[in-house]
Amino acid sequence: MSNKRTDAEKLNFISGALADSLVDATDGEVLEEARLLGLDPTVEANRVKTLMLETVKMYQQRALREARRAYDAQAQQRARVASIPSTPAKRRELFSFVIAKQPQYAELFTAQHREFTDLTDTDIESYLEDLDELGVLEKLKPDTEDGDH
Amino acid sequence: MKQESARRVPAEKAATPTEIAAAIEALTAADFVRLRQYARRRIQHLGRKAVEKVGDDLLQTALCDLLQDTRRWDKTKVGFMGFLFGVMKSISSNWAKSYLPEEVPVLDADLRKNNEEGEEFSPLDRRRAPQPTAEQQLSDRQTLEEVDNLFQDDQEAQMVLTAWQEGYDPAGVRELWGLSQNAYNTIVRRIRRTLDASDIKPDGDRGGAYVQ
Repeated sequence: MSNKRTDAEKLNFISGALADSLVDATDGEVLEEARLLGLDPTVEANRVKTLMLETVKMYQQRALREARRAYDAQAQQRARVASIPSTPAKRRELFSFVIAKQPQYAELFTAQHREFTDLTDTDIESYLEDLDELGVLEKLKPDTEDGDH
Repeated sequence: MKQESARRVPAEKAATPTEIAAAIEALTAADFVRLRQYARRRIQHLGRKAVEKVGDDLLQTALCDLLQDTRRWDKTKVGFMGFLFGVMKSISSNWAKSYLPEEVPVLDADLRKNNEEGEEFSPLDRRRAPQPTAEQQLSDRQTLEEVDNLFQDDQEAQMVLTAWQEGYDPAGVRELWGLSQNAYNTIVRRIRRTLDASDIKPDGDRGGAYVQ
């Protein structure tokens, strides 16, 4: 045999072979060697089983929590979209209503537009989305429903 | 776009968390102890490259990789135990390769400069091909001698250990020495138990040559 291997490589091969030898060892050998190391095989088997099943359980619970968060975020998004009317005329009507009820928000928009009549349909839709993000539409919902908006 | 390796198990064939839990439930007590012992041996094999990791960490990492879809198990092709052995071997090998003897909180690019001949170099270049120190080499030699002394009266064990040191796999060792499967298993069992009962830890770590 060659002498080219370093001592470190030789030790590396030995420890690798020792680990791999456990794959082919019989059940009896594995349990006996655990006993020789001072372990109770039954206790150790239960401990490892619990460890593995807990790992799966934690993963599944985390996956469920993440799915719940994603569902809630989608539901919120759907609710927001639903609270904004689908036609430009209705959206403009709602926007005027909100500004009348909550005039403090008018300053936000008049800083960019001298008159509300200058606002395009896209501007209105975008501002309504902003107001919805702020929760303003949700707060005014009973009023808008009463006013049939 | 992320491309999947041609060897990767297709998602539809990969075991689900429920199937993985069922596979764990189906294992025997000996299987759990075997997994524990295998993980322990792999960590021993890492030596100081294991840092503070223990066998349980290796087993849990293998399971997490499977659950998080980092690795996929095709249960129609390989048993759960065989899969876990393979994953633990692969993970521990990656841990060894990524081990740095000490933290290097600088970027290699920051250290690059030109020498007097105008050639670019980095102080980290030397780390990429580390040479075992004289102390490490001495330690390796002493450990090999201790292993040799431990089996000085066991010629069969010496034959197997010598073949292992040269990189022979189990089939190669059996062929080299004309050993039956049973004879080989008996010798290997003796080696494992004798080493376990000794203080010698042939952890293959003393060269410290695994830096990426």
